[in-house]
Amino acid sequence: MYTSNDSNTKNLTKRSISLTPYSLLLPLLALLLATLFLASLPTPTLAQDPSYDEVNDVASQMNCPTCVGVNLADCRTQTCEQWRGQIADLLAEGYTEQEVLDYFEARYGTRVLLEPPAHGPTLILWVLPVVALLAGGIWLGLIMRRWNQAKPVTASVSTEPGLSASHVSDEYLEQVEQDLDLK
Amino acid sequence: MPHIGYVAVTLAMVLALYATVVALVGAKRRQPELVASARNAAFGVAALLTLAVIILETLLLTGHFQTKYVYETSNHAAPLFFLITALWGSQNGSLLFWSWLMSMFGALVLFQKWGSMRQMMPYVIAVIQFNLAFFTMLVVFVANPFEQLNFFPPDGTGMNPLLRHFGMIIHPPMLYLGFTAFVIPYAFAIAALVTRQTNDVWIRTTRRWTLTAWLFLSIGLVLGGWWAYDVLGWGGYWGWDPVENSSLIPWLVATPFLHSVMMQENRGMLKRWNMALIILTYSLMLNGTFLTRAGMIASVHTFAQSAIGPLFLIFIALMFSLSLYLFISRWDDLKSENELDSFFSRESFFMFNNLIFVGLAVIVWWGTHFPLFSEAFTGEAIVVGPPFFEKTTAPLWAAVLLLMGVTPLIPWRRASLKKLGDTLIWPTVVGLAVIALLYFAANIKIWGALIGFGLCAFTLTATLIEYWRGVSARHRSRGESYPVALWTLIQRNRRRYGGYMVHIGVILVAIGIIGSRFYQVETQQNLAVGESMTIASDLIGTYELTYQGLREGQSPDDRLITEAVLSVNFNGQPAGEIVPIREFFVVQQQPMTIPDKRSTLADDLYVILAGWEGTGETATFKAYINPLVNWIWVGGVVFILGTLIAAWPNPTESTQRSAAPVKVRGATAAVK
Repeated sequence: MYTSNDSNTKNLTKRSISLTPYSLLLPLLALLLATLFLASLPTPTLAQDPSYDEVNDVASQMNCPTCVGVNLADCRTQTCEQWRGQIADLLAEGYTEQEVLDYFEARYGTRVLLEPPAHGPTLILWVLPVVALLAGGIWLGLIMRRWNQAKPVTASVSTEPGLSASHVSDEYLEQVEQDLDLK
Repeated sequence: MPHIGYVAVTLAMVLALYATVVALVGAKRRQPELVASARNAAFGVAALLTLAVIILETLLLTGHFQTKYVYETSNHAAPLFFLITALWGSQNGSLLFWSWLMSMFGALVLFQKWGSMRQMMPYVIAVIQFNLAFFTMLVVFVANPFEQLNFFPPDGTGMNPLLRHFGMIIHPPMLYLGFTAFVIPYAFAIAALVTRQTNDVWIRTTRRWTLTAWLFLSIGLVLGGWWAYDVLGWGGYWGWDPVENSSLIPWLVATPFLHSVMMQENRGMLKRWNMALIILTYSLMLNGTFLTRAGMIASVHTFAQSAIGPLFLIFIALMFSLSLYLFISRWDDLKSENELDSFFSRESFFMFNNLIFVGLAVIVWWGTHFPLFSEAFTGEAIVVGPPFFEKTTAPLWAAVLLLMGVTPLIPWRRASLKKLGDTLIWPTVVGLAVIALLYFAANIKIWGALIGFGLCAFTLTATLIEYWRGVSARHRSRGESYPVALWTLIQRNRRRYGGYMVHIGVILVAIGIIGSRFYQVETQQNLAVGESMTIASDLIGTYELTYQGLREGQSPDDRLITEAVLSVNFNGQPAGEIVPIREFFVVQQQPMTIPDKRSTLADDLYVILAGWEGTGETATFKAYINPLVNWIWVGGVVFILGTLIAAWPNPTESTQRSAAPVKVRGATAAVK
């Protein structure tokens, strides 16, 4: 850029840089390029404010902070309005649904979430039902097996002598029981 | 006069304690005069509590606002209906009401069974009166509705606005009738344990009590859901709230109890199960009442916190320990009379039924109480919302639906696979056909809904087959025409065919729940006058709502009422107007958002007024489409009808209520 040309150097030292249109051109071009570049970056921000429905989609996964047992999307108090407003702001800034939920959980605790997470101290909430059902099923199976294997001592009481259960067909029994209105 | 009421309750408490002690002493020392004295004391308790209730009602109806309870639950402007129902409008009155109901049931059962169940009577009296002693003690010492203020208020504050709705105000009495009536079978179960009469006598004696208690509990649950849907304005009917759950949990163990007693009557089996189930029903009922009244788990329902909590806990622990002790000490007396012949039999399916319902009860109990445990152990407050309950119980509800269809078709003792297959082939075909139809023709793609509807179709077919088998058998063998055959079939076998009708009711409710749960659509929008919003459902169609304007007014009992008018277009055709309301109760400073609905069997269009700006130039509305939701209420009615039929005395009953096991009498059988 800098030549050893005497006249140019003389010009530079003796006079201030003139603001000709051409000398502005480069900076302006640079600015324009920069703006275009930034504008072209993929942005998750919404073009307008989030709709009520978008806010409610997130709010319906949270609890009202002050009232008891009311969903954030249904509550009509001022506090809940503010919280929904905050959700709208976060969504407008580009937060995803999960990020908004994490944001509130980090600030206010797990109790703002409608569904306790399946990890951490609330893991046992989810695990116990499964364990209980399995245990119940196994126990029931064992009991039933024991009953099945026990000697059928009293089974013959329920049939007339000479007519053991195996000789009487199911259909016969069914019809008899139905007619006698015993079932 | 209030003081007379208080004295009456105190005397009732003393008499109840007397009755408990004297009945037990009389039984131990074999002195029937003492037991008779206890019986008279029990009648006295009922009479005294009736007096107390009459006095409280009088205070309410005459606007005696110096009485604190009257001041808190009523006001001059309240209509007569809400003055009467203020009896249970708040904690203290509702405890008195509860005690009164229990005392009346106790007296009634003494009237009914005194002659026939003499050996068990002392223990039945003792159990019921001990319970009464506890509840009246609560009223006397901690929750006195006759308490007086030391000034004369000119007017009361009025009943909680949330309660001023017909469905809501009927819902507590229904629940209380159910809860208190369960003390009767429990008392007989304990008496059976103590006297070692562990056959099915206690079950047969209390069968109608159990059925009645269960019916009222079911009605209470459905009414609660209906009220929540109609009035609360969040578009749903069940919030899995702790207090809601605490009335569901006893129902979840009472239902298998109702069913598995059938097995004890028929086969002498499951005695231990049945004993355990009734003890659990009663204990969970106490647990539920405690949750509702003691305010330990936060809920929209709970009464304010008071000293009731710890007292309740002690009582529950006491009764549960007592029951458990008796149960274990009589373990061998409860041995089965018969063995299980096959894993594939009605007996084993009843056992699956028991397991699934108890599983449901465990899960709901766990989720309801978890916040307490979490706070106690980790110090962190947690809210267990609907998603937990829905996800964990869904497969179990599906299993219940399946069992409901299969079990009535499986024979007792042993079922051959082939025979069973033949019986179930039609229900299975219909179930699968319905799934295919819904998938291809009705655009239903959510697999949970498909399975649910398929199971409903399966079980409905299986149940109708049962009716068909009976009707066609009568038609063939007796030549009765089909309508007559159906009528006489039900008449002569009310328990069975009434029970099947209850199952049909349950299926209808299930259809309503599946539709509204999986396919609910909602939207919220702000509209200016003249502007429209649309809400569309794939299943139902498209609604267009146009905001017409706001109307304001005042009701005679001090409510500011704001109505918003919207005109409705359904699939392009005009469909009337919908008018959601905001009520503001000036005295309590409490707003209520009341929805308006356009209801058909196919769906509900459900709209609430969420807010408005200025004098209504713009307003925000929340609209829902709830497909199939009205099937829930229809199903509820069928359910109730079926239970009434099942409970009605059978004309031929007295001759058959003899031996428990099934006997084959060859000569009298008419076999085709």
